[in-house]
Amino acid sequence: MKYAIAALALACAGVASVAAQEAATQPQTDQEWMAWMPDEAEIAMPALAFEETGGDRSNYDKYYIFHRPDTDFQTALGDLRTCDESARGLRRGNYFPDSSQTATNMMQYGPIGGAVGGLIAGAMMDAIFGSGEMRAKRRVNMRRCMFYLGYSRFGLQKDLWTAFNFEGGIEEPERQRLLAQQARVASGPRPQGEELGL
Amino acid sequence: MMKRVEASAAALGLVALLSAFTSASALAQDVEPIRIDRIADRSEVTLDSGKAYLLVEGTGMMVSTFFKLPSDEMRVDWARQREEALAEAREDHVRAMARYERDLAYFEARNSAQRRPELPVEPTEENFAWPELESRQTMTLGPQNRFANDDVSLWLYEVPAGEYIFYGLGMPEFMDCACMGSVRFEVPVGQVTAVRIEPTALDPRANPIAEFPDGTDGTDRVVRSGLLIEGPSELAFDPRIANWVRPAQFAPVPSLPNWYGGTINRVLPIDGVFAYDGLQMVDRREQPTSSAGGQ
Repeated sequence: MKYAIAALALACAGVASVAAQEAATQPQTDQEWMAWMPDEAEIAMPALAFEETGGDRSNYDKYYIFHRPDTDFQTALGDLRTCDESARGLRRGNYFPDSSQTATNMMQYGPIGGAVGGLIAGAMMDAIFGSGEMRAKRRVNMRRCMFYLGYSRFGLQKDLWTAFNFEGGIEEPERQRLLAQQARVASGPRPQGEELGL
Repeated sequence: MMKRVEASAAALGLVALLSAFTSASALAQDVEPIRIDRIADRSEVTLDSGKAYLLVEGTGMMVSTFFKLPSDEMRVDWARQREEALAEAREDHVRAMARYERDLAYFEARNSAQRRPELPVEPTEENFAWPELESRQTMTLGPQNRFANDDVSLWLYEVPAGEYIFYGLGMPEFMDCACMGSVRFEVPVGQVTAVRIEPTALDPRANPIAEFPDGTDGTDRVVRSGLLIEGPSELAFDPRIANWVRPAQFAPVPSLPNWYGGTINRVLPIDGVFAYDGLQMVDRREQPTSSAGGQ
């Protein structure tokens, strides 16, 4: 009996170690997902072609994509994250252009939303103010931040937009996967239609 | 008669709310908030040459938030408080590990279908988060308590002398922060340091315009809003204090943390101070001061 149990335990250990190896290549914690840099080829390019209608145009304040010429995938993902994290209150300030003070502050304060004892003000705001307001706030923040980073904004049909965008209230892994798809769009061919500006 | 105001009250209230959801060590965060005194709108005003004053010139019932850069002494004490809280968290972790090991042994012995106990995270210097000291040194002026409200709105406050950063328009609960670019300026004793602030309509290229075109969509109106901060206009030189008023001397501040999860924005470029290159601020002052000078 005990040999059968031992054999079963070894088999389970074997399966577990393979699973552990596969798991090790995927980000595990939120922090790891926020630093995940996938291969561009692994990320599906979303469908963007559509016949524009008046109804589509009236929704471009909500459904749009960002694009910047001569920008590679990694840079675009970094920029999308910069804006997404700034919007969520996950970025330290830089009070002085030479960053010397920021370095000191980082040592004193630890990470924002750190593994121990951290709390993100934005997350609290989500709870207090409800989702409608947070969606509106996110649109404002992403439009402004991406514009000032030099990205152009193009309108997109709602259904196409929903496939790879989000308005808030999602888990970190899903957020990062969608940002990666948005980065493919931002670094890909120029989207159809006119630039909408800020 | 001066009215004493506990600045940062709204921010502290929010912090108290947040504290309820964090560990007990958060309650050890102890720092003196800024004390500011409103100068009331009276026909006669007496200022003290040994004190420092901030004058904000604005529009209507505007609300503006600033924070004071902490002294080295305050930073040292804040770091000490963090170390003490970290030590406490480490002691808690030892106890949590003992409980975990007991629970794990029970779980493994029973081989039950219940969830495996989670390994407690060990607090370290690198992962132990702590609020920024600057977030405890904020002050919000307006919408009420104006020193003048005829042709222009003026708010005049006695404030601790030191270096200040413009944080944004609004109060902590509803903030449009200058998180993507702001300015800092000294408020020395013996003068009224004046700034003019105004939310500004922008066109789709982010250029200031007098007003939005008719039919501009609601979301566009919010997005295309800039933060103008500059020296005072002649309207700030109220006869009661004119001899005291001096324009603030600005230096660029590249970015601020979004403490309240509000909308993020940036101040408009200021001739002779800075210009933008993407999200970078290009210092255009004739003689940039050392960044260490603020301490």
